Amino acid sequence: MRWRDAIEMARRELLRRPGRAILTMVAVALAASLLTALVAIASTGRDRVLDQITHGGALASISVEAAAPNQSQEGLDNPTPGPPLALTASALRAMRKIPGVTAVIPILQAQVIVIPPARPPAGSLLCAAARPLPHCEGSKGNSSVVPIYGDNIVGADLSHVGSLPVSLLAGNYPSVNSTTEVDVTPNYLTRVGLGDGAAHEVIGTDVELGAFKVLTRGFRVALRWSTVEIVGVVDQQAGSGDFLTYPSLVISEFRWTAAGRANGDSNAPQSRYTGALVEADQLSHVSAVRQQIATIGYSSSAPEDVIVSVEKYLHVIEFILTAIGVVALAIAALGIANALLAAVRERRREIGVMKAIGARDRDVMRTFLVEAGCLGLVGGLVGTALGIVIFFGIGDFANRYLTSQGLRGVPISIAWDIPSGAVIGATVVSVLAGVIPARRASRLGTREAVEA
Amino acid sequence: MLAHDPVRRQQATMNEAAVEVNGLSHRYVRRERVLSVLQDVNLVMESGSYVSLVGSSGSGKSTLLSLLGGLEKPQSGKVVVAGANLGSLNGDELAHFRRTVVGFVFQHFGLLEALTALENVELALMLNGIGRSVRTRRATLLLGDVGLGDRMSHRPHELSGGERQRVAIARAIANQPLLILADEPTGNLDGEAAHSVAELLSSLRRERGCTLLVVTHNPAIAALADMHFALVDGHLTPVGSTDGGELGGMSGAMA
Repeated sequence: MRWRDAIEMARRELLRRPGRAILTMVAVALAASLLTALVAIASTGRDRVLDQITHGGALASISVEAAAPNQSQEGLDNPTPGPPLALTASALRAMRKIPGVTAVIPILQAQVIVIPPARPPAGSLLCAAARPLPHCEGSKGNSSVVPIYGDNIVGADLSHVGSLPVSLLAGNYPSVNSTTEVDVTPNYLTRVGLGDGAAHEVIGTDVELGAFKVLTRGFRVALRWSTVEIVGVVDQQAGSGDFLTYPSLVISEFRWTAAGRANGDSNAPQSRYTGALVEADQLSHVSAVRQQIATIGYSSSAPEDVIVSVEKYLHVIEFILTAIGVVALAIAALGIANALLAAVRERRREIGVMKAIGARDRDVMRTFLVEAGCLGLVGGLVGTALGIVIFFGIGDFANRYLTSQGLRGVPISIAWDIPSGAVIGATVVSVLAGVIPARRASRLGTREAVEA
Repeated sequence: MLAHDPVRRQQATMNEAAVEVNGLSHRYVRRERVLSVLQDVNLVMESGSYVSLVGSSGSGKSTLLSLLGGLEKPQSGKVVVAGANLGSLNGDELAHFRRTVVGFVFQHFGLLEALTALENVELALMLNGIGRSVRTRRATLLLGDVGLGDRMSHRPHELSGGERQRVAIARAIANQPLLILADEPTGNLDGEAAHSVAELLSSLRRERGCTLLVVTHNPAIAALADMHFALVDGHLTPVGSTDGGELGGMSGAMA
């Protein structure tokens, strides 16, 4: 008997008792949906926890300080750095050559004076502008002036944002190599008198950033102003500052300030780099890479020990949740086995007739295995689709809750291997459940079965 | 071994008996009791012969049919059908033998309820590895031949007893078997339907050259046979021909 014919026979037999087939499939579908949803939730929870530990950066990411290593704290995840040491381009090149390093992303920083936009009274001409300033609407009082303050602008190659400890809370990242767009941190929102949930109020507004340069020994300082647009709000641990952008703008500001050293400004920074992120190819290589970075002469930190121990706990949770789904699938498999055993009993004579007209034992076995596989495949497909819906529903609910608590939401996505694994798993388990009934059917004595 | 090719099989059977049974004995053990169902049965059936078999309930008729049809392996003695020694065949070879050499007709029809009349006939062809279009065409012709051209899409429960048995006969001859084994084919049929089925079985020998062994208590069917046997206490004995003369078509001896 060909496979195609066996599938057709199985379809006929399943349709002959649709109630039983549907109930069996529902059991498989429920188990597959539970398995899909639980594994997806476990996987997302794992990513979320590790994301929190790494602040959105890569798992095997190492933060390099512009400081010498502290010998007494060697081996710690987060050691206190030694004395400051300018991070140079040649040091970064040396780090790129360390075996197991996949990327070195320099972190740049420049000091700036920030002039946040004033909040004019509601209904003013400024409020009618294309880019309304914060709290334009609803505010009926006089304009309030946000104090000028000093801060840093942090620069990093945001095209490798997946490797950086940066998470986008709202809006977008600046355009590639832009010198006119920045992202701000929630700290900026607090400075301008807005809450965490008011990110959309600053996106699209402009802010003045002034880089200063000491002109002479004494008090003469020159300020060079840049107007930049806020395009997003980020949570970032790459550097210390309320502003994040591509390196181009930071380099420009840095050069202006660093030029003050020639005029006697001993506080002007020597290096544009305040740190770097070194990414190892895998978590197990982080320790060796950190040792090499220390050999080059710099202090580094990485949450490797925390990640390893947390990963162990998360694996246990994943295992438990997956096991619950698998147990449900096993129970559904018992249902399939039971339904097929009943079918073998009912179709005893038909099995005998099939064998009498020439069916081999394996033809009979194939028919029953295909029936089991069909139940598993259809049940698995339906259940997996249901599981995905449940997962997205729970994810949406969780994100609403997190947002209402002022926390960043969880990216709700499901890796393709989870649903495909659930469908394949349901089918394979169902076929395995059909083995005993199928063997029983195939081994029926032909004559006894015909005369049943 | 087996003459699977129909042409080769026909040539082979022109020179040899369709069925040769020598010293066949068979017994069952039921609850530690040994039941000798067949004892030293000998039988030779030439190709194209029509044999009827009678016997009381439990006399071993169905056992003999199942041994000749390869449903069971003989315990002692020799059963050769179409040149194949059934005792030496393994499971797959016996299945192939049942697909290609014999056709079964059961008292209970043996149709699959999930399939239509056409699909029931196609099933025998499907098991023989014949492609969909060919088997549909052949099954359609066969059902037309047995007078069910207008009932092909009906399921067994939508057919009368006579119609069901005609579907079963169409299925039995689908793979052009050498030997048809019918076990009480009219046992569940009324007079008219039984007569119709009897005529159909007779035509199989006439038009297709099949060899028939029919277990029956129906005189109308028995009357169409040219050899008559009875199984009494496990022994096969001839009971004479219907015309009172010699056993037509017989060339062998019975014990």
